[in-house]
Amino acid sequence: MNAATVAALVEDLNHGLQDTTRTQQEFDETVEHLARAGLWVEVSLVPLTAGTHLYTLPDNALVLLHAFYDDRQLDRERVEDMDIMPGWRDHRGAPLAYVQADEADRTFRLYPIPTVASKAYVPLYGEPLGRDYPSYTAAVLTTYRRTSFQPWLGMYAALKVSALEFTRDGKQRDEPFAKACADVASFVAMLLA
Amino acid sequence: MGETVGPLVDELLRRIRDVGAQGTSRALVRRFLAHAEGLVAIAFDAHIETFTLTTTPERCVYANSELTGGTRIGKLLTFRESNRDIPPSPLEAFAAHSLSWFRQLGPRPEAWTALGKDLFVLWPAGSTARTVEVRAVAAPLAPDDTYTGSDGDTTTLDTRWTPQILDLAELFLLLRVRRLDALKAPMERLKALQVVG
Repeated sequence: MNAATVAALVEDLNHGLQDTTRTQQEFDETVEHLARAGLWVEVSLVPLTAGTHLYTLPDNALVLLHAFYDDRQLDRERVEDMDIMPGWRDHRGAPLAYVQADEADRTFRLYPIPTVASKAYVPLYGEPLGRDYPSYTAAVLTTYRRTSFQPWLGMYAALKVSALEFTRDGKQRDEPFAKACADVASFVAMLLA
Repeated sequence: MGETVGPLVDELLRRIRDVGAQGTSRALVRRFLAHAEGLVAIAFDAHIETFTLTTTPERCVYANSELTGGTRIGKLLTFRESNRDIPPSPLEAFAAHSLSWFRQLGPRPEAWTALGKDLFVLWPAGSTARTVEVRAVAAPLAPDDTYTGSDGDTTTLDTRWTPQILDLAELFLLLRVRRLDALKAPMERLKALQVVG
């Protein structure tokens, strides 16, 4: 189920009254909502550079759940707690922990600063998380945005998109209908929970 | 065994007061019916399928989509290998066992956990490929925007789920025909059916 198939369902629900120029934006907002609810999780490799402490989450990632370095799960630490340790920002070695300012932060800091660069990923078996896992590499477990998702979520997404669409200013604005779509979407979510 | 779709379409058109399908085509009703059936399958654990996972060496994280038909999965239920049940476990328990769990190898999988709706961990990884049986709640059909079906089709879910499918499809159709004052009744019926299970 992707933006096009959800758009077709939205049209079915709304007799084509929606402003189709906004459907993609409303689909993206719906996907963001579902992703923030933790529906979709992925693991991504993050190649490290020796002497570099700060890394950025993959483009589609939203919330960093866990981080790993080689085979080790890293502890999540708060800056306030790390500051108890004088000079921690300069410590070097194999990473043991990561620090993030807050959930909205798209970067994370490794502690200590890695001193060895990641080996290159060589796809001998096509298994980056298996036999091809490159040494000295970090991996992050994150919630993320998908461009297509499970087909059974299609109607729920169409309801959410419709609720957004008919709340917006424009000639199609229909608040009672938008509210009804939002109520039915919440009801479906309640059934699925 | 499911029910023939045609009479269900008739019933839904009667409920939205359009028995002649003047305002809502039978094809559209069938499409909404298919979406309702998928949601009922997941929401009521009404359709359970068995999938086969062939693991790859040294890897413990898998996507549902790696199972054939796995994009239809809504909820993972059980994992089984060689007539042995593999118990579920919260993710935190892996780290409590060993901070090296992510790349740890073992002779056989000891636990599994779901991550969101599309990923799972089968821990520990093995050094060779293994075959694991996965039981999961899954939507029976993946209707896309071109799906129209036919009145002669049958639903996939057992007939005991027909009331839920009808009520949910009715809800979507009532929205479409803007009978917003009538939405409450099917929602109340569905809530009651959910309690009965």
